[in-house]
Amino acid sequence: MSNEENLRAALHHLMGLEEHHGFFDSYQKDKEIKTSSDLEAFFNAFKAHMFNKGKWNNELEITLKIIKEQSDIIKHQNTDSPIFSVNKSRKLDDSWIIEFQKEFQQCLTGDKFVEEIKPRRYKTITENLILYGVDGVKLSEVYSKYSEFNHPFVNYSVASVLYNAKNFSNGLPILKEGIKSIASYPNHYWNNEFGIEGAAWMIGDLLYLLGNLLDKNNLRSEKIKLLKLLFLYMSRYIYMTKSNLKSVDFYSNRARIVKSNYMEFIGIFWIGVNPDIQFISDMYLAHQTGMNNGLPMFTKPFDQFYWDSMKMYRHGSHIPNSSGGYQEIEDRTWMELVRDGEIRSIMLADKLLKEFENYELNISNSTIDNIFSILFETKKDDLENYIKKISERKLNKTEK
Amino acid sequence: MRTDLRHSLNEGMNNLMTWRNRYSKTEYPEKVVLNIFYRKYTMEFMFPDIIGCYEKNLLGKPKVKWNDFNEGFQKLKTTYGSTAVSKTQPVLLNLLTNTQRNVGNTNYGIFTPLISEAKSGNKAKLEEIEYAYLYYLLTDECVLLWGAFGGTGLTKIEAIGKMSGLIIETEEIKTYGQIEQVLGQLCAAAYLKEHYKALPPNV
Repeated sequence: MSNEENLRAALHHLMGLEEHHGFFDSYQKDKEIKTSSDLEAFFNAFKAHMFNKGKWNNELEITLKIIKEQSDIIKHQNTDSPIFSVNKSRKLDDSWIIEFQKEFQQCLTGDKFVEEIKPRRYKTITENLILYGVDGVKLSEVYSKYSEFNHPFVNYSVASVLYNAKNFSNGLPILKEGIKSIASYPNHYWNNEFGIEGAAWMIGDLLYLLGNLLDKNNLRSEKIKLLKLLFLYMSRYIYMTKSNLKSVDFYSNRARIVKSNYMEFIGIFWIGVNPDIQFISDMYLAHQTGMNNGLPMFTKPFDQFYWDSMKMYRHGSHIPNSSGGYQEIEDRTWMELVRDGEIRSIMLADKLLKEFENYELNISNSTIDNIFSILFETKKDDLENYIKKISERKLNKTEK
Repeated sequence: MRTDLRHSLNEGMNNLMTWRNRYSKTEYPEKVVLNIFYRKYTMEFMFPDIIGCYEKNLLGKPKVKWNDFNEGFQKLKTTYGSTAVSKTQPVLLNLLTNTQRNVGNTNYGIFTPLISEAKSGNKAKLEEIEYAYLYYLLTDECVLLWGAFGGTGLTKIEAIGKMSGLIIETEEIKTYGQIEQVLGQLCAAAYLKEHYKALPPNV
């Protein structure tokens, strides 16, 4: 049976109940049923009505679930832009992730370290990373508790702690398993925000760790696939959450990814698309998303997104100059370019989703094994030296 | 040629995720198994239509029923749908009371201990049930494809060769159990070995 037939049959069953007619008539006197949310509210009220009469049973409960689930599926099938659509009936229950986050926080030792970002991205600004000390034994216990879920957010959270501390032998295998679960269609966590978030950061980190190793090892097509997947997952997060506060990170990082892989993205977009315009757009949208979510307009470090977008528009660069930038090259205003970039990003994300669903972006397990064996050859453990080095730049030094 | 089963696998995964949301954790394992047998009994009931695709003409040559393989596949899919509703649905629960009755190469009795262990929280047994659902879904999809190839004028062995990329020797295929075993091993299991990604535990 098709989804439409399933929905019709379930509706027919519920609406055929003797109690339905009377209830529907009286409900309609007070409330309108125009949208799918109105319909859901109506059925919930009907359920409560039947429950109070002692007539609600398991069969009706299942019927109601089928109505909701089939409506969701049909709505999802008919959407013009599935990248925005969350199919609740196919969302895996990952509510336990809140518990994981709490336990993960408890692994922090309270120590903070500072590390300068190099190479510097700005002429006059020094950027620092704040690193938090983590208890390795506790982290290992938390990971073993949650590893069976193979959840991208868990994999990313745990693996990134390890490889950022130069503990590659423990961090990279977790990253590899995580990448295997998200680098081919379908991704079981496609309808889960935390799943998409973890997937995006894992691919971003993998590309960062690889540097130019993929090009050097004749794996350029894999690099392009990873960049496409990264753009897709970042966009999915932004659109599925309707640009929530965390989307600030996704917009700004999407801008940086496109800018720092300029030539690749000229190919990934289509002829005539200038990745700098995408940078102007995404940086501005990062700033705007922050404001829309209640961040004060000009607060550090979020105001930097605004200036980055404006500088790229006026100077075609991070560094102010007298070239005239895109203000002169393009015959359009700053905000016109922001909107153009926004629309192009949505179009590209839709196109990439089609490619993903058509299995064109799949990276096989054997290719992933190969990529990681290359990575293992170049990344040697250096945990002790690294800890010694960052200990010199500890922020909250405690007397022993 | 290797049969491309990615859409069937995706459909199966989507169904499992939908049912996980629809049913409680204790209901879910049984519902998945019920669905396995709903499909298997339907396949058994419609098997005469499938094997009928390999009819021979008066000269003993394979009869061409359709030139376009897709046309045959859609016809068999339609037959599958109508058989499921008219023949299987009314009698399924009754059929399952005989737990030792074989349908294809399995029976409900094999699954009853798996269901009770999965219900009591055994994650490995639940995965076994979910894997079995996907395996049989893909196998039965292959059996329908095999029927559709028959209607194009291929012999039974030629069709198996076309679907699996392998040349095999086997006794004359006459039953659903025989073809289910062959295509299950050559196509479904081989495909799942490469593409199966287990769902996370159902919490």
